[in-house]
Amino acid sequence: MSWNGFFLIAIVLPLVVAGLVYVVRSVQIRKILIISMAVALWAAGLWLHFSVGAEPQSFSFPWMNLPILLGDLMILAYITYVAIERRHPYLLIIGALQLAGLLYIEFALRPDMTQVSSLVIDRLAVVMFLLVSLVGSIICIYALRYMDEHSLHNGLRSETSHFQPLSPEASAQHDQGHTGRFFFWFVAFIGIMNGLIFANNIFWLYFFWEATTLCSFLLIGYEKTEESQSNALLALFLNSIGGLAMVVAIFLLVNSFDGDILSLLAVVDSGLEIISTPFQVALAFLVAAGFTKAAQLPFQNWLLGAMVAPTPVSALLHSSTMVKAGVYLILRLAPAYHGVLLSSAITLVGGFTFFAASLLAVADDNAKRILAYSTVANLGLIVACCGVNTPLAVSAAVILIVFHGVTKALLFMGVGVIEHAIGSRNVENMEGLVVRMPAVMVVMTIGVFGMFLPPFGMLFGKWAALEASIREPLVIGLLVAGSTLTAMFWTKYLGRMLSSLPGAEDRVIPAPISGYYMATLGILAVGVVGLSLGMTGVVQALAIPAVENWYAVAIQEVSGLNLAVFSWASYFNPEIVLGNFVVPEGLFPVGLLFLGLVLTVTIPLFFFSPEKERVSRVYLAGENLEDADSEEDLTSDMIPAGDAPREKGEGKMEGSFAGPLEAPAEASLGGYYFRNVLSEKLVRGLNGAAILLLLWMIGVALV
Amino acid sequence: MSFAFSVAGILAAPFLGGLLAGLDRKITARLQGRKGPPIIQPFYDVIKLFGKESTYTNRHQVFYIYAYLLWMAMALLLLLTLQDFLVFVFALTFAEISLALAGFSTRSPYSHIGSNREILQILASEPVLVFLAFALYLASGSFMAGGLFLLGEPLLRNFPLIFAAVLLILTIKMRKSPFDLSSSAHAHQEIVRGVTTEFSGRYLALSEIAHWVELVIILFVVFLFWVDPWWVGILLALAAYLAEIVIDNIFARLKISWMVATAWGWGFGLSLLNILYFTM
Repeated sequence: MSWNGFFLIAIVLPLVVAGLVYVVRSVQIRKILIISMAVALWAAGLWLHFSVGAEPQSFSFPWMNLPILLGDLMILAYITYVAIERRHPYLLIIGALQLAGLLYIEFALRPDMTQVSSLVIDRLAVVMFLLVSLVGSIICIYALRYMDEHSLHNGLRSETSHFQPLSPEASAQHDQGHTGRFFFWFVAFIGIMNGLIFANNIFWLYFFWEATTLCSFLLIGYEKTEESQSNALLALFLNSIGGLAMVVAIFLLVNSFDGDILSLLAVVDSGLEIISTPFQVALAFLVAAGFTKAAQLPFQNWLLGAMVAPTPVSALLHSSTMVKAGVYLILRLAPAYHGVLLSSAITLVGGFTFFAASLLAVADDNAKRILAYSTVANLGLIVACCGVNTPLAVSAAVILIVFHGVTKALLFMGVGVIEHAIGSRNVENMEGLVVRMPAVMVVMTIGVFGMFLPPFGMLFGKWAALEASIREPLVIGLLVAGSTLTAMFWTKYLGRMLSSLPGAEDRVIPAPISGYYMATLGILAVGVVGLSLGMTGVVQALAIPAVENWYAVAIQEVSGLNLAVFSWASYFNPEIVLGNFVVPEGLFPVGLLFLGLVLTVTIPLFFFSPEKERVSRVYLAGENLEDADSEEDLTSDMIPAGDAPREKGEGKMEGSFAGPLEAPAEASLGGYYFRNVLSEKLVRGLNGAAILLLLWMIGVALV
Repeated sequence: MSFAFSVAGILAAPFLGGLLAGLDRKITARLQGRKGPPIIQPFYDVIKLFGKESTYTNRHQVFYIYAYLLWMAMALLLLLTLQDFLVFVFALTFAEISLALAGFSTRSPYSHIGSNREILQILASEPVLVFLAFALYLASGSFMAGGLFLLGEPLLRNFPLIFAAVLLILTIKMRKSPFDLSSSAHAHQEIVRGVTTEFSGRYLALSEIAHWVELVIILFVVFLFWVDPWWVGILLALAAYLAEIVIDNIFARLKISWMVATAWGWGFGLSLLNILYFTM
């Protein structure tokens, strides 16, 4: 396969498939098209992984510069149109400013772009491409089934609706172009994201950047409800601020450096301009643009609002596309702001976001919002890593991007299945899910554990991030607090799902789950466990090569596959190998921790035989009411006649107790949400602090 | 330290922890003017629990109780082999979260209250341990606990404020008054035993053994503040333990919000102050 062929598959193929699924209304053909595209993308990803060496490779398509510019203008014109139609004056101002800025740069400053390479492939881009093509296409396949259900299930907003599975014929009838439009933007998103990954020319970058904004606007607003429309507009508005920041940055770069710095590679390689103010300010604006996409505080609201979209959209926005584009840009620029105060300012913004979003997640009872806050928090951690800017920190950032993508996609898709099955996304309604949907619960447990417990990849990334943060003492407190809060909200969430009555697991028949769901969730669950087990491989084949061009090797393998060790001593003195130290600086025993996990799963199997042991009832101060079908009969005086509001259904009496006046009462439980402390006022305060931090970051670049 | 030593340590830890628990009961009894049980009473209790009929409320509960014990043993192994302290903290968190999840696994109001409080106990105590990992690095240039033995001076010398914070969370980790919120040993201030309410028979025994291991782990952490000469560290740990028993007896249980505020105010504040003072 040639490079051009690769670009055709990576960028053009998804766009073509998107067009086809829009035109062809047959559900069957759509499925074949999307699954074939997924296979093609996986194959291309594998080919790319084995074809790209350490050196970045540049590719020029100068004939595309004009179409890209026209595309930019069209997107901006559309944004301006939306602003006028929806009467959003601020969006109009921002859209118009972007349009004016772009026209001014193109026609007044006239940068010479003939020598600028359009696309660049390096190892960091390979990591991102693998993430987008693998995870993104799995989400696409999942969406095939999800949207089948969803198109009949638009009443999901009301918490009372009950989902009923429908025959394929019925769903095919229902599917009148509505989901066609959905899949058009959904699949196109993957192609655009791939373009963004490889974009090097800043105008190309800007085009793909705006195109992802547009895609997410249309996907979030897919439902056409009032809420989704206003949230989509909010997403467009906040991301347009990022777009404007990027135009400002482009203007500064074009205006100040005689057209020498027109590509990302040039920005990163131009160590000489580090002291120049325009360069620093341009960098700060580029990073600020990254903050909007990565939903860093104070821009987090668009991502939380995006939750109204169908779950595959959330999964795609959160795991591999959109938000990852933001941190990807910040990470890519990291060598450019290495060693200046701007870097520390970025650390503080990221660290603050990590802390604040974890804190807000504790107070939320909406499963998708909890996942969203967790995304914001983890992106904050990645941003903080970029700001710390040591070899270990940037390696940790790459590892976090990879594992967060896989794990969060798994969690979102799991919540999507739960949501369709129980008709709610509230954590409190997920009580006892462990008996109602045991298979999904296994997946969710892997996902939740995968987010914060050893030996999973996210924890490894967090471990590396924490150990790296010692270079930025100011941010340590934020990271420590955020890390602890993370453990808290995940445990709370898992705890609610685990809570079930004694013996319920033998009484309740689990709900059936579609093969599409089991296949896609299964692949990702195996992926989370497998990638964590193969941590040394991920580190050596993906993370280290991705940053090796600019940073020293920070994590090494010792003692076979067992241990990953780092040393930033090697950063200052590459000749020193770890073996010469009596004690390494840190050590993550992957093998030992995995042994612990295997024992955790297997030992109960050996020592615990449920059939030989008795199930005991919960303690309710000795006032338990008997189960209708238990051996002891209900005595008539226990429940006063005519005062039994409860159906004597399956297991209804279990967990009930004799309340005041001997009336039966069900013991009901709820989670802690600490709303008295974590209030709206606190959110406003955190946002205010974040705005100040952001202004300070740009101010730091100015002086 | 050798592998054999670590295995021996893991096997010995429950016995040491059990003896310490017995000592606790004896001293507490004497403080209250009672004679108290023999020092090996905790072992009698656990053996008796193993002999009882085992009942369970939920299969996941059993799974998480085993996870509690296993990851506690893992944390001890990491500590005894002087591994990365931060990894040790995460393993300890896994163990404690397993306990909370075991409590959550049953739809029982009492164990839920206990589990929710257990989460808050983790929230209150974990930051200080992470700060201790940073202190370790700043003192020795490595996150490995083994670095302390090459240091030549006690950790306590440069990090007295973190030591104070560790003493504060010691009470939380041991679930002693005034912070015995998730599960209290004192009958007079607990309506129903918190997080372990729904454990019985051998599962209660397993959680008890895990708690003994936890006790040894926490005292080992205190020991790390003065590893050379080693007997000073051991005296330090024992003194801290005895002080803890006295505090346990003279304080009543305090509100959970007070615990979180104290731990995050004083524990967090002192630790961070110490780190910043050392680095600046």
